[in-house]
Amino acid sequence: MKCRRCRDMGKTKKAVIFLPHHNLSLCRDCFILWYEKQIGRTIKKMRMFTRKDKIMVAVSGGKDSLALWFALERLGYATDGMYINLGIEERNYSRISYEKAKKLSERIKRPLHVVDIKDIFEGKGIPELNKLTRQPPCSICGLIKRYYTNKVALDKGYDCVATGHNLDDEVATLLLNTLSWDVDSLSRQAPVLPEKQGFARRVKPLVGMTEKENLLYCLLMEIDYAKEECPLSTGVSTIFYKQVFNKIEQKSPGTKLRFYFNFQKNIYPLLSPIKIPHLSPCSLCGQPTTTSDKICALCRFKEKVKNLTKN
Amino acid sequence: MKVKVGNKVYQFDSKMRGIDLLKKLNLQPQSNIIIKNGEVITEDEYIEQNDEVEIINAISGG
Repeated sequence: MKCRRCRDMGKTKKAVIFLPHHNLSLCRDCFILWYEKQIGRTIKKMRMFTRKDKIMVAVSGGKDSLALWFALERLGYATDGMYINLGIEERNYSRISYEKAKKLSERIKRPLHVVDIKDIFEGKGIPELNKLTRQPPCSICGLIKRYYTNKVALDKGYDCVATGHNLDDEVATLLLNTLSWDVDSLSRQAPVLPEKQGFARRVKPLVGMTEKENLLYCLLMEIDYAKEECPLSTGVSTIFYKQVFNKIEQKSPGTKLRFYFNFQKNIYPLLSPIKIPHLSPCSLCGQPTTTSDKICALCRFKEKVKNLTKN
Repeated sequence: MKVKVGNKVYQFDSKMRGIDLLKKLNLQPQSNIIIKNGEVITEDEYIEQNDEVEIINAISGG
């Protein structure tokens, strides 16, 4: 298969990927150009940020967030990284993930802020917190990530937090939320969540890119990423929904893009004004909370851990 | 041909296209990249008997 872009310019080059949802085959150089252009277009179209903004990229060491950080740097945006060490020692998961994030930070010569949850929870990582509180590890991880990405961004004066959520992540979540008609979650599923009192702006510049495209970008740009899946997330339903979508996509290319972007265009505007929760600062840490007793979810979790440790 | 998928290695004796190899291994083309002798290839490309192949999966749990 030949590169279509090269063919249009009268050249012949072997393609490295065929993208049925764009009816496009691209060689190495054209794919890199196309990939970065697509991200740049999403950022501008959705008014995520400008080159004047200071951006914090939340990196996990995986392919998506590292591809995002590298691409944003190449596109000329001012980006620093932020990594949360989750204290998962099984298969050296956290150590390897950190090393990959650090390696990219050194390659692009940008700082990497690190938060170690063992410093916050007196030596406990996610597995120990899961054992102690009996809360699902993914729920603890999500709570900690949401809280600390916001806190570090605000404390260090960033204009927004960029995350590596891709099209496959978004359609899987959208399908899950739709199947249960979870209007509350649907009303928050947007590529841009604007800043509001106590919350930094959150953006997802990879919403138009598939996991395969992010992986290919990493391979072609020689970005060393953590290949291991989180050992605590085995059997998560997201993977099943992603596989279901890939089957649909095989029969009907473009379904993922249509499902996600038509939701944003036609449904999200109807849902977003439904719930605007009242925010007030947490009486313990000052971060915003919607709870009536004015204690945020993370401080409540910290209290729970403290009490269970005592007993 | 020798085909590496994650930590497993498979052996196939006949020449085939990448897409047919993915089908044999029950892998989806939307979430896998084929590397033949160190280079990324499209699924329509033929893989010969003495080629070394690695398939990398893109799906992650999120």
